[in-house]
Amino acid sequence: MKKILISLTAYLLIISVILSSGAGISASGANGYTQSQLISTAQGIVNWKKSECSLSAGDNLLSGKMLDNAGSTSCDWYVIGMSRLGFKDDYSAYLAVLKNNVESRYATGGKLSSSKATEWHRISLAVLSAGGDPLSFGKDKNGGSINLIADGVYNRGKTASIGKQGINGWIWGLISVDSKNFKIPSDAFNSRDDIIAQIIKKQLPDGGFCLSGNTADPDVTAMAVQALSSYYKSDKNVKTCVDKALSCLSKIQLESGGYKCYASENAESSAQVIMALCSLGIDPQKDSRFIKNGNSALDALMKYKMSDGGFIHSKEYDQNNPTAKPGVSNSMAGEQTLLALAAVVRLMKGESKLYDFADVKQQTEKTTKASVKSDDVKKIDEILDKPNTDNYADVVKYIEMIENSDNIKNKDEYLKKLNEAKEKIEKDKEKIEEINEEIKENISPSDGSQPDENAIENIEEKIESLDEEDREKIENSEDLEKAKAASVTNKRKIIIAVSLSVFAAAGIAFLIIRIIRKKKKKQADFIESDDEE
Amino acid sequence: MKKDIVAVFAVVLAIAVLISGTEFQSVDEYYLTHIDDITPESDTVFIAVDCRTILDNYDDLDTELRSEKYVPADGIILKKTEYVLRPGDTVFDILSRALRYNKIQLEYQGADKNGYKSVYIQGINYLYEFSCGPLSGWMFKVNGEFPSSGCSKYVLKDGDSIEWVYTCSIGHDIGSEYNGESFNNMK
Repeated sequence: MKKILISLTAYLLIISVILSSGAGISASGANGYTQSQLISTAQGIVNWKKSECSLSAGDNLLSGKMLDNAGSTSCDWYVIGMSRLGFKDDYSAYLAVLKNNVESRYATGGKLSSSKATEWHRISLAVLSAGGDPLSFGKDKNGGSINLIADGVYNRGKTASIGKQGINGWIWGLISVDSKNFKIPSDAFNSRDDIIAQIIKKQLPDGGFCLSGNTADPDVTAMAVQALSSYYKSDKNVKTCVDKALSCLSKIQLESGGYKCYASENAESSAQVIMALCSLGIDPQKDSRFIKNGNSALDALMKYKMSDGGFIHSKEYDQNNPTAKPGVSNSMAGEQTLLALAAVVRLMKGESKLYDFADVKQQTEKTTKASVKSDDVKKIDEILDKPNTDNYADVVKYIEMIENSDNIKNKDEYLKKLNEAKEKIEKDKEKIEEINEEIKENISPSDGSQPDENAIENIEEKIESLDEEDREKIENSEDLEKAKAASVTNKRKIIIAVSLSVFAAAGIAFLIIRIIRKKKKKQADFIESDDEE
Repeated sequence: MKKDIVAVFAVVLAIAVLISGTEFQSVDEYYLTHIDDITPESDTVFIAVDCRTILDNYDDLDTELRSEKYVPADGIILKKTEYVLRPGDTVFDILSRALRYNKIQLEYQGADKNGYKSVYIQGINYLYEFSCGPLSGWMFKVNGEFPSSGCSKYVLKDGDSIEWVYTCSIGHDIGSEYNGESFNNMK
């Protein structure tokens, strides 16, 4: 969720481009949206995202490229939103690939991130959403099981402060430990009270919260409320703090029902406020403190809906988010709207709040068997025929699927082959990294020196051994081409120089011999003529 | 006698070629090996990378980074350098090339891993976002202005001057007038 903050706080230069069309549903005033309208809007966002990933509405969103990105912001928030709405998708594939990605990131120095605790927080919420257990999720390189809540929240401070990236680290840390009321051991680096105190301490005089400065930022304020919501009834200090934050959010709400973050009114700010209200059980469509001029934050949010089902960030060009073009649906606006809709729908249905996963059953024991369909077998055969890094997520997915199924013929053989393919792809990934590193180290030009010919050959051999598709993953191959051309030129230069020298030397020798011969001949002639005389 | 003249001529020619140089290249090879040569006709851009703000906020810097290896004494990681601008080059292309050619570390997040669909610069010379406080990170300017698009989307033109600057207070310390904008390189 840090990303939104960055996005909302990220850019420059205002160019006001007012949207002329495509604004979708027009607001009908407060109390307007029914549960089914909201659900179908949410479905529209998911379908838009599918089409953006070149998938059709019938496909699972969690497939192909999207699966590959399991564990990154561009994927995880969609998983959380869809799951909390009860939408069907391939969560077990997502969980398998996510686990694999987390394990490989744990093998690096910074694990999930050297500076952002929110990586652990978002992934923990996504793991819960997909039915996994963040307290034991995969294995680290020493074979110990990975505890995302310990490493990312209560013991994060042993490596780097939870708040290294700012207040959002504390906020999302608290949301994650409370997501399933996880226990914090007494010898933990940070207790719940520490984290709560850190958040309260950062409240501004106006009641809001922000990343920097001293005026309320609606997004950060709304996130702080979401984090503190679990203690609103039990903790007096929290109640005072949250009440002040709520009056601030009520005060800065615009006549449209929406919110401005820095210069621009935008979708994400409204979405976060909606989630904040729902986390306290406040219906954003009914509470008069949050209806301005007949407009609720939900009314404001719905104005960002486009005809393709997606949502836009802002109707104006926002210098703080230049990649979000007015009139073009935007992934971040879509994911946060999806989450806000999930929060409202859950409130309407009387379900637990958005980030309270008490209702989710963990799949510790696989109760349902996966069934491998003939299409899957066809796809598996295709992959096994030509495994490359693009298929990695699919290979991980199918291993998981086959392990949990008993309707496939030659199960063991398939598993063996898939595991071999997985290993091969992992090796190829390493090889690609190695090649990229070698090109940077030994080939990219610096100080005008000629790259070593052996190094070039060595790298070329490695590239040859990769699958064709994977060869495109080599970065800076232009440097290699350049080095090759320079090396060929150089070689040719030497060959030509040597052969010309030899030729010139031979020519000179030939001339010298001819001269000597001539001289000798002349002398002989001279002697002869002498004799004649 | 004729033979001698031919031989002399051949030798003179060989020596003349040897003296004038034996570098013969195909058009492609010439293009590849001279692509970065700056000639009076070439389009060029300038790039500089500095982290001077860290010098004023040294106490906030991660302890393991407190070394001249990461933060040079004058704060300048790459002094203003001229590079040939190839057609379509973005700010990211030039940054990547300049750092590569100078063997300076660069880490970035690919465009498909975030919500911006543009490359996000995480670290240069091992200095990362949040390395020097919660409001720190890399931003870039083109011709003195903070541009409105991400670094892999900003296409450069002849004569542009890029500055990558490390901020310790989301831009306030490096002349960004906007209240909230943070790590602009972000895209």
